[in-house]
Amino acid sequence: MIGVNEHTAAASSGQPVPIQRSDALFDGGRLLGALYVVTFVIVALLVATPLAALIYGSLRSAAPGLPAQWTLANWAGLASPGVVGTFVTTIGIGVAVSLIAAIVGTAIAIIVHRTDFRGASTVTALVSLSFFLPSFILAMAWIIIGSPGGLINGVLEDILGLQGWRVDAYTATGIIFVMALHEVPFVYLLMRGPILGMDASFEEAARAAGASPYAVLRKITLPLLSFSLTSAVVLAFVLSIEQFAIPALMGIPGHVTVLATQLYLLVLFPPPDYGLAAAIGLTLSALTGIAIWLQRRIARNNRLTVTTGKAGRLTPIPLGRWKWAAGALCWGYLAFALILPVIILTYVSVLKYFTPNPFGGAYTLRNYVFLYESGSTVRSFWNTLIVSGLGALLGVILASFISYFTLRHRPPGYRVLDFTASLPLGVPGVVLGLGLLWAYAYLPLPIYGTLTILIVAFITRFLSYATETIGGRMVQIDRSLEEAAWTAGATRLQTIKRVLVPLTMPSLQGAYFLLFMAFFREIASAVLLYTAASSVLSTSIWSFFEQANWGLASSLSLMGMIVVFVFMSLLVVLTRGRSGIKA
Amino acid sequence: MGICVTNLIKRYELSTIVHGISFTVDDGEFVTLLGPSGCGKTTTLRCIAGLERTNGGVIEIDGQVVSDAQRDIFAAPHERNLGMVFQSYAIWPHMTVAENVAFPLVVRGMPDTAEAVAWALDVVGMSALAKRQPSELSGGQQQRVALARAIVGRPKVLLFDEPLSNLDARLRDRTRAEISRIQKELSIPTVYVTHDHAEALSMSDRVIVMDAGRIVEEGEPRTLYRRPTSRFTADFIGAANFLSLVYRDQAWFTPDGSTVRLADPEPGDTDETREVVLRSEILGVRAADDAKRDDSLNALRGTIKNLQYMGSHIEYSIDVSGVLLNALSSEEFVQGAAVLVTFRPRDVHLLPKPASVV
Repeated sequence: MIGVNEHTAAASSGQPVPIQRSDALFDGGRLLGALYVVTFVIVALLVATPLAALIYGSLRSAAPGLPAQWTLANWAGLASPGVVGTFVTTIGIGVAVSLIAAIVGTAIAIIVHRTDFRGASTVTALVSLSFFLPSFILAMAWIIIGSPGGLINGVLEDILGLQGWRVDAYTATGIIFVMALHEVPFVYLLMRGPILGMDASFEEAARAAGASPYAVLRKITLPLLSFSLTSAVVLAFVLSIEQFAIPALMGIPGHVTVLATQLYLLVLFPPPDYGLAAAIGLTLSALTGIAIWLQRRIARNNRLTVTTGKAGRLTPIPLGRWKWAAGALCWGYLAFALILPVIILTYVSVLKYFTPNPFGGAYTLRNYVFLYESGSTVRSFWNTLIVSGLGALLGVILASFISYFTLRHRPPGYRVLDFTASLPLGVPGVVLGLGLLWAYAYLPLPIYGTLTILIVAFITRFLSYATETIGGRMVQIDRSLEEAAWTAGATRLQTIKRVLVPLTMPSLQGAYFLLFMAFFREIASAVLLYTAASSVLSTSIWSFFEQANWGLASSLSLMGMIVVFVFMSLLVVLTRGRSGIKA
Repeated sequence: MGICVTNLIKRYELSTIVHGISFTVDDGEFVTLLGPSGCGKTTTLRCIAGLERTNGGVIEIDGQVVSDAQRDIFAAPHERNLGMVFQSYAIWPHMTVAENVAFPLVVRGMPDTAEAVAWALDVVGMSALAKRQPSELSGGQQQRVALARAIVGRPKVLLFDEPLSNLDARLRDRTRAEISRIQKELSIPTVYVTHDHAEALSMSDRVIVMDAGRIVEEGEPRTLYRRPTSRFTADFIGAANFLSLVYRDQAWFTPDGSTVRLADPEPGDTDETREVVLRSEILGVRAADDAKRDDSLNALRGTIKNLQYMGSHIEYSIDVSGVLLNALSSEEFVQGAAVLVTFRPRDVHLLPKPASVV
């Protein structure tokens, strides 16, 4: 600021007095400019490190850290029949799952939100709940149910005495079934917005012109949703091809391999081929990246979304005879995706010896006792709390800075920051884990095998969840609310503190919650990075299951889910206490 | 000392929004920037506020240069000691009315804000609602809170960005008078942006008419209304009829030969064509065969082409030798009737010769 003497001297001489200049980068002051640079560097490092390491690793002939030469053999290996076959399987499963999930998910969304279906709110709540069920727990439950030694076969053979009828969960069909179950809530959540937001007058005009409710659905509603639907199918496809836990648990025993699990096998089973794994990882990332780019183009060209905010006026379609079919679909889905798995897991967790006959089994609580007394399990819990609780906090802070700089402040280079921060979305978890494995073999930081690397992996992987949540709220805050603060005398930092933060607080809480849940159930990026000391809940359950200890795996899953449920409820209660702010 | 804008240039990507305009606002003066959407008036206001950087020219507020692109001088908005009222009011929803108004004082570190806040709320008549949440306020009330917030810090200048466009017509009239009154009381140099000529005429000491990034004309409201120097101004401020006249034999004639007498007839070149402005309210309508004749008035023959009943009067579109003139009258005429359009010589305004545009 200008000194008093300068000011008065110049003013008295009648000359206009210049005020200090500001550089565009430091427009909001030195502190804000420095924060921007730091954010930029952190994001660049987080994203570039694993990716660069993967590219490097794909061109090396030996494992990370060992002496090696440059080679193209890994990339040539992509053309080998094994990899090509895996590629075809991946795409095939991906297409099947995305189509099934899209149909079921959209059907449920329409039934629940546009018809007179009874129990709609219960179904909504339970479908949202099943969104949070970790994929590996769902896979575990269905393995217990459908594997050759599982419950269905046990019932069919031992109890009903039917020979020759067998189910085998360890097949592509099994994988498709469970993956579809896992992705339906995702499609549902994606389609809910467009379905609820549709302008009622489109359908009302059709009704006034004489169309029956079903004709309206066929000719008006569904076509209007076509863009959103296509977009949802593509995103579901992305989810399917990058899935790790389900194809790993259900595919490896049955020799059904997808790209994600092939990568895993190449690293963890002899003879290891880290280079080929890196090449496969990059190929998989390219696939998901292209699909996401495609989805963005579709979403951007969506000329059919008309949101008028008058959602409440939509008249429900009467189901009539169809209500039984609708009920079967909704409750059937929930049974398979949520209710049955939980029941089965509870059942198995208290069995002394596995048997498909609940009446013939011996029950015990020894699994729970073991977990309670086991030092390593307790350590797992604490690790999970640290990784999820602290990691989510760090992630939200980083995401807030990114959202602010890319959406409000926009200093030079903000587009690069935006692009870089959204890159990890296209990188599957297990690929990211491999990248970090490669990277930290060469970096001097001693963080391999610690919780830190897990936090780094999770934040990198899920940063976009937080930036989308926080950013989505930030763009809704009218620019004039900030400008009014500036013209009233507040610096940019003061404006952030007094105006932006209070108004985005609900989304900050939402993002924290989202990140916590995502970190909690993540297995794919952790599976290559964890050690006994840095085990978290997901990896503990995973290793129990790998040892075929269904009892311990189920009980730990249930305990974990209960803890999460308690945490979720606490969070909801706490945040409801704060005043809701509408801007 | 007010505001001094010299040769302000603002570009956005490849197009120029403001083409080097200059004007001043003296102490206590109320100046309106008036023009259609896209003319650059809001951009100019935002440059004065520091919400936009300039590409050329100098802006001074109260003797200090706040913006000079060439000398790389730029003062951020919070350094300029402004009071600004936004079109959307921009009342922060997470603060009460009193907290909103106290904000400019709080961020400047003033410890005791109660008195100033009470004064500002009293000036706008919102003292009783100090503890309310913005979601409980009507549009007009929010607007007054915005005004209180703008004046509480005794700013050097007041800036208004189309503050009345979100209010309904009756509220607009009332609020217009209030803003005017408050500005006169506080005597702060004010720049007011609007596209509504009624606001401009009724509130301003001076009006600056803008179009396509340039100043078309500036002057006092009465002068601009009665004696505009450009067709654009005449057309934009109030409803205007235009008639082309030809100068022959030392008199002005309509194209079909009728004489039009002017109060101060300007001589022109032979066969020169000039336009005159005829405001709708100064045109009278009489039946063509009306025996009464007032020779002091100009009279042109015409036919009623269209009429609209407006309650207090009827608006007639009259075809006068190919030109449609709009006149107001409380007398009833039917469509197709032959009428005389009458007006006093002193109500005719001859537009100056259009200067060649550089």
